[in-house]
Amino acid sequence: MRRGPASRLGKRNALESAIGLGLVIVGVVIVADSRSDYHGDRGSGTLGPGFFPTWTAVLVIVLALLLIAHNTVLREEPSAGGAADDVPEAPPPHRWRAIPTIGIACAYVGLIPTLGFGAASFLLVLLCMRLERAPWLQAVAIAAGCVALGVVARDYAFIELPTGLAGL
Amino acid sequence: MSFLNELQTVFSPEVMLWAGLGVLLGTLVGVLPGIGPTSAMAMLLAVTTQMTPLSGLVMLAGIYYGSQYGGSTTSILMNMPGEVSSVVTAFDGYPLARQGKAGHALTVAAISSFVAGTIGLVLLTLFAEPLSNLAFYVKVPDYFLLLLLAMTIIVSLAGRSLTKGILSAAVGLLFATVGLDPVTGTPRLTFGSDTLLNGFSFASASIGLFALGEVFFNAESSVRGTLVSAVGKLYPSLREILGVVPTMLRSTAIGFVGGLLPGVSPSTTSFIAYDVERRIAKDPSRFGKGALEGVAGPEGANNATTSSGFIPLMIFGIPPSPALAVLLGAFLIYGLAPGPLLFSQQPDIAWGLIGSMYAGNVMLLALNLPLVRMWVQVLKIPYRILAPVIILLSVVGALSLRNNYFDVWVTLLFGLIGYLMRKFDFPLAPMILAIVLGPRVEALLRRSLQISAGSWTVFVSDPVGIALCVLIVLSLVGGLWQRRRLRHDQFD
Repeated sequence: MRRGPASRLGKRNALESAIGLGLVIVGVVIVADSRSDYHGDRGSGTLGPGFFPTWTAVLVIVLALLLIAHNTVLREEPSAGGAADDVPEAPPPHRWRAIPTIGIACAYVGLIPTLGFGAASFLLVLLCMRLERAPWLQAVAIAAGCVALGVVARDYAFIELPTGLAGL
Repeated sequence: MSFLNELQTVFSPEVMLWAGLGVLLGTLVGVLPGIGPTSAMAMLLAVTTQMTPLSGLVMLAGIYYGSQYGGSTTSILMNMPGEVSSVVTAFDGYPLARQGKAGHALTVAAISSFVAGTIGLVLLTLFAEPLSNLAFYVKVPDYFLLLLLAMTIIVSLAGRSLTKGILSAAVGLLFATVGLDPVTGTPRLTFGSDTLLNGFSFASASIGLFALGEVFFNAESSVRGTLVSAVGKLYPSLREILGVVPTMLRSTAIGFVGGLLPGVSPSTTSFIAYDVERRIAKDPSRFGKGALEGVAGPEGANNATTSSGFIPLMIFGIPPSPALAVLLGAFLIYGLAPGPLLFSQQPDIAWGLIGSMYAGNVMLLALNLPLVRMWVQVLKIPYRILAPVIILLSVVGALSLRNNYFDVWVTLLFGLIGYLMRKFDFPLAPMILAIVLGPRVEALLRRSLQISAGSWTVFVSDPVGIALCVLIVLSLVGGLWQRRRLRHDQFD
């Protein structure tokens, strides 16, 4: 069933509130970690390494709470008819089509130390292009080109790329 | 004049080579939708550490201003901006292309970009050194307020929500605090991890936020333009070119002044220039249907903004845009401190960079006009090829700076953050600016409070400080007011 603009907006608000809550937790952890270093080693009159993170984290907590309040209390839940204008131009958050791409990127980064940069890059490009229904020949050629790019980066730009099992 | 003394450095084959490569890459990046100058500069930032500082800076700067030229090609031929700053160019550029006058639009865009970019550079050359002398009189507390003002202006102009803008900057500042304390050397926010002692690398953060974040976000977007591949006759008549000269000059003035202010991006000034041209035109109804002024105005403005943006960067070390924040990161990685001392202590770097931009502008004119048909072919490269290549280059970029695989994971983490920020409308510019300026903001704040023995009145102890504090408050109130007005207008 297709969701209406009001439902999309409601879900977006809920997700934004979740982000806000996450930031509040991060802020509290940082305040707790930084408080002991607030004054540093030279006594209460000086400012230590914890001074700046403490106040920045307090700012993050306050703003995150404001964001949560804005999304849950202050913002009126729009009616189905009047909500269309308020729906942002960016893709609605219920579309998570980036997840496969993110998954592939994570797998790629995870595989590099084992397979080596060249082999992992070859697989990445081949997989991405085949998912986009590129012809096999084109996919293999571009994947091989990317491996060549890695060799150039290693041999001419002197970047130490992991070699792994494949030795490439 | 110091600039003339450094001409030998500017026209050395090495500088010319890197300037040429930079503008070529910049044009390519500008032409290709889905990859911006900030991403490209971030990916290549670490690679440039293998070069001399001047060569690296010249190449990165070339990518930045070169992309402004390239962006117009995509706007005109595809009705889809290669760069955000070229959105407005499409309003009249694409109708011109549909009328078979794509060549005319591309030529006017290139000439306007060249004229505005060069005038901007002349003004930069004339004012950079005198203004840098002025910067010597800025005291430590005032310098802190100046950086804070730059951040609040960027926050107030970026995105649709002020809360999200400030939150973005605050989280960026938190990221900047991880690692060793710059004053005492004590570890903080490392949670016992040795890997975090060196903090998050700026290169990893910028590559993740801009390059990977964009790839992830584009995976959800299915917007594709329709390419008008017939360029037609390239050169318009002399009368047509002379007709847009006043537009070029007006847009240069708008773009140059706008570029001096943090947060005023080339895209903002291109909108303003377009609006001004439409308002003063004898027949405003021509706009949107293929008016050459509608191409010359925005293109001139965005290039002038690009040139003048180097003034706050090189004089105060304040980057007015995310791309220049990456360039500031490059300065810091090379061990150079942009600021008033740059012109007196490293004149070869300061003037070499400015001088290379003159040469780069000429190269861009040569690249953009005769090679326009080649760029049309480049436009046919599908995004499915670009996306994995960007991921691959991001890994290379992240690894090349410290050769630490942890940086690759950090890049991926920032990629996710960048994706979520785009998705939920959090502006990226305040975060990247906060990450690059964070250590300096903190050091200046703590030094100021040490000078005053902990008293916050040090920030309002002189007229400059009071004026800066007022401006900070005004920028935030102005940002809030602007958003309320926008929301009100939308509701109406």
